[in-house]
Amino acid sequence: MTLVQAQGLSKRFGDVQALDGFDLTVEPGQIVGLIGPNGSGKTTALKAILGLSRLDGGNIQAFGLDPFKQRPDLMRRTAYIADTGILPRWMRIRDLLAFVASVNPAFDRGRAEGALANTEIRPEKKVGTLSKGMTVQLHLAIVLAVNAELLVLDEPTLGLDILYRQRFYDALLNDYFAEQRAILVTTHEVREIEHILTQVVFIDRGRTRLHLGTEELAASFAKVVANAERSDALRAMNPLAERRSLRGREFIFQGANRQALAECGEVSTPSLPELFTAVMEERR
Amino acid sequence: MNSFVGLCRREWLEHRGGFLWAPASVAAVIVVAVVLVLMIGQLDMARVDLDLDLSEAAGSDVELRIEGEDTSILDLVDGWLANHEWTDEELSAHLSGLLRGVAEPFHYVYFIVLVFVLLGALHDDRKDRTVLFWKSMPVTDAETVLSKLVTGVWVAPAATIATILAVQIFLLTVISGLAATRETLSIWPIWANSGLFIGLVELLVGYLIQGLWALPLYGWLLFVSAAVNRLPFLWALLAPAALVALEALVGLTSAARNFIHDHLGFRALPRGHGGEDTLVHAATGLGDSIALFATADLWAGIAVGAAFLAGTVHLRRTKNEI
Repeated sequence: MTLVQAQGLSKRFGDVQALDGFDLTVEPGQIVGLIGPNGSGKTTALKAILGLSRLDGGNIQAFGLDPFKQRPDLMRRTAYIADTGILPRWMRIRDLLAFVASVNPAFDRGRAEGALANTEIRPEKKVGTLSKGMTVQLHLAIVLAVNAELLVLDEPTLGLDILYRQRFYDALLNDYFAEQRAILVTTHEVREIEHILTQVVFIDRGRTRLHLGTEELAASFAKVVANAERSDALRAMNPLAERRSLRGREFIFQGANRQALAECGEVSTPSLPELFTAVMEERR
Repeated sequence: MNSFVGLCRREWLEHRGGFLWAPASVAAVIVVAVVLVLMIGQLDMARVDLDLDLSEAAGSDVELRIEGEDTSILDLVDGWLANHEWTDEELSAHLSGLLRGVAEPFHYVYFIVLVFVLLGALHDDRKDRTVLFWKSMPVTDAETVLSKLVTGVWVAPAATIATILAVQIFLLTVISGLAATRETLSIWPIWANSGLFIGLVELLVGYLIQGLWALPLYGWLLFVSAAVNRLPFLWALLAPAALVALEALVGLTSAARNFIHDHLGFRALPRGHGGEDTLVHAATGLGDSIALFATADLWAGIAVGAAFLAGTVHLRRTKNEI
C-alpha cells in the first residue's frame, strides 16, 4: 500500500504560492528525502501531508486517509518531528512520557524508558534543563517508541553538532527503519542525508522538480568534465547545467548516452549535491 | 476517554502552580492575619497584666492601663461572645456569613488565574512552537480545546474549594478555641450552626454552574487565545469594549452591554453578608444557583459560549504558528 500519495497540491499564503502543483509518493521501505532551498515549500508540503493545514487544491491521501479531516487517525500510524529540540520545557520527562502513553495507544513507554536509561536524561528532570542535543535524543526516543509506519522529519538535525547528527541518523537506521516502514525527511543540507536516502525529491517554488530513486541516479544522470575545446560539442548535447571547476568545465546531463559523452571528456555519476545544484540552476 | 483524562492531566500539570499556589497564598494571608490579631489581642491582655504589676510597684499608673484595654481585640470578642444569648438562628446567620465571606477573595483570585490560563491556553504553545509536538499526538483539536476548558473551569476549582474548606475549618477552630477559654458559649452549637457542610455543597454546585454561567466569557478567552498572534489580553479586553462602545454610539440597544455585564458576575457563587453589591450579582444560596437553569440567560450564555468554542476548534485546526 502506498503510504503517501499527493498530486497537484497547491497552497497560497497571500502573495506567495507556497505549493504549485506538488507531487509526491512514499512507499513502504523507502527513505524519501524532500530537498529544496529555503522557502521552496518543503514545510508547507509536510504540513499538508500531516493534516496541519488545509490545501487550496490537489489530492492527498496518507494511509488512504484525508490528513486534514482525519488527523487523529493518521497520527496513530505516523510519527513526526517538526522541530527537534522543541518539547514542552516546563514538563518533567516522566510526565511527558506518561502523557504520550495516555493519548497514544501505540506508544511503548517501556521502550522509551529503556532507550533513555542508556543516556544522561533522568526522568525526574524537566525538559527545560536538557541541552539541545539531549532534547533531540528524548524526542527521538519518544518517536521511536511509537509503532509508526511512517516517520516524518522536518529539518531534524538543525542546530545540532556533528556528533549528534551522526547519532541521530544511526538511531533512525538501526532502531526504526524496516521494510514495512518509511521515512520522509526534509533538509536543505543535501550532503547530510545523501547516504541514507532511497528516493530523492527536489522541490523548488512549490513544484516537484525531480523524483527518482537513488539507485537510478547513475542510469539517468551523468557528469562530464571536459576541457574548453570539447565544451561546445557538449553544449550541443543539451546539458542540464554547466559550471567551471578547477579541472575544466563540468556538465551535468540527464538521460544522455554515456558513450557519446565519453568521447568528449571524463564521465562519472554526479553526487546528489551536484545534481541538486544542476537541477536548481537549470530553471534560472 | 483515557486520552481526554491524559489531556486534562497535562493541563493540570502545566498550570497547577497557579491553581494551587494562588489559593494557598490567599489562605496564608488570612491565617497570618488571624494569628496576628490573636497575638495582638494576647499582647494587650499581657500589657494589662503588666500595668497592674507596675501600678502595684510604683503606686499608680492609670494611663497605660486604659491604653491596653482599648486596643484589646480579644476583649471585643469577649463582648461579642459573652454579652449576648446566642440563638441558633443568630449563630447560623453570622457564621455562615463569615464562612461565605472568607471564601470570596478565593473566588476572585481563582477567576484572575483562570483568565490568564485560558488566554494563554492556545497561544503560548504556538509562541514557543511546542504546538507541533502536541499536534503530533493522535487527539482531535476539539478534545484539546475541551480539555483546556474542562480542566480550568471544572477541575481546577477543586484546589480552591479545598483551600477554602481548610481556612473555614481553621476559623471555626479559632472561634471554638476562644469560646472554650471564655466559657460563654459551647463549642457544639458553633460547628452545628456554621453551615460548613452546606457551604461546601454550595461551593461545589456553585462552581459547577458558575462555569456554565460564565461560558461565553471562557469561550471568548479561548477564542482570542487561538485567534491572535500577539497581545491576547488586550484583544480580549478591547474587542468587547469596542462592541459596547459601538452599541452605545448607535444607541438602539444595550443588549451586548447587559449580556457582558451579567455574565461577568459570579452569579452562581454565594457571597458573604454585606448586602447588595452593585458591581456583580451573586447567588443567595444553593437554590438560587440551581434556579439559574430555569433562566433563558444561562442557556443564551451557553449558546454563545458554544459558538466561541466551535470557532476556537476551527482556528486550532489551521493556525499552528505565530
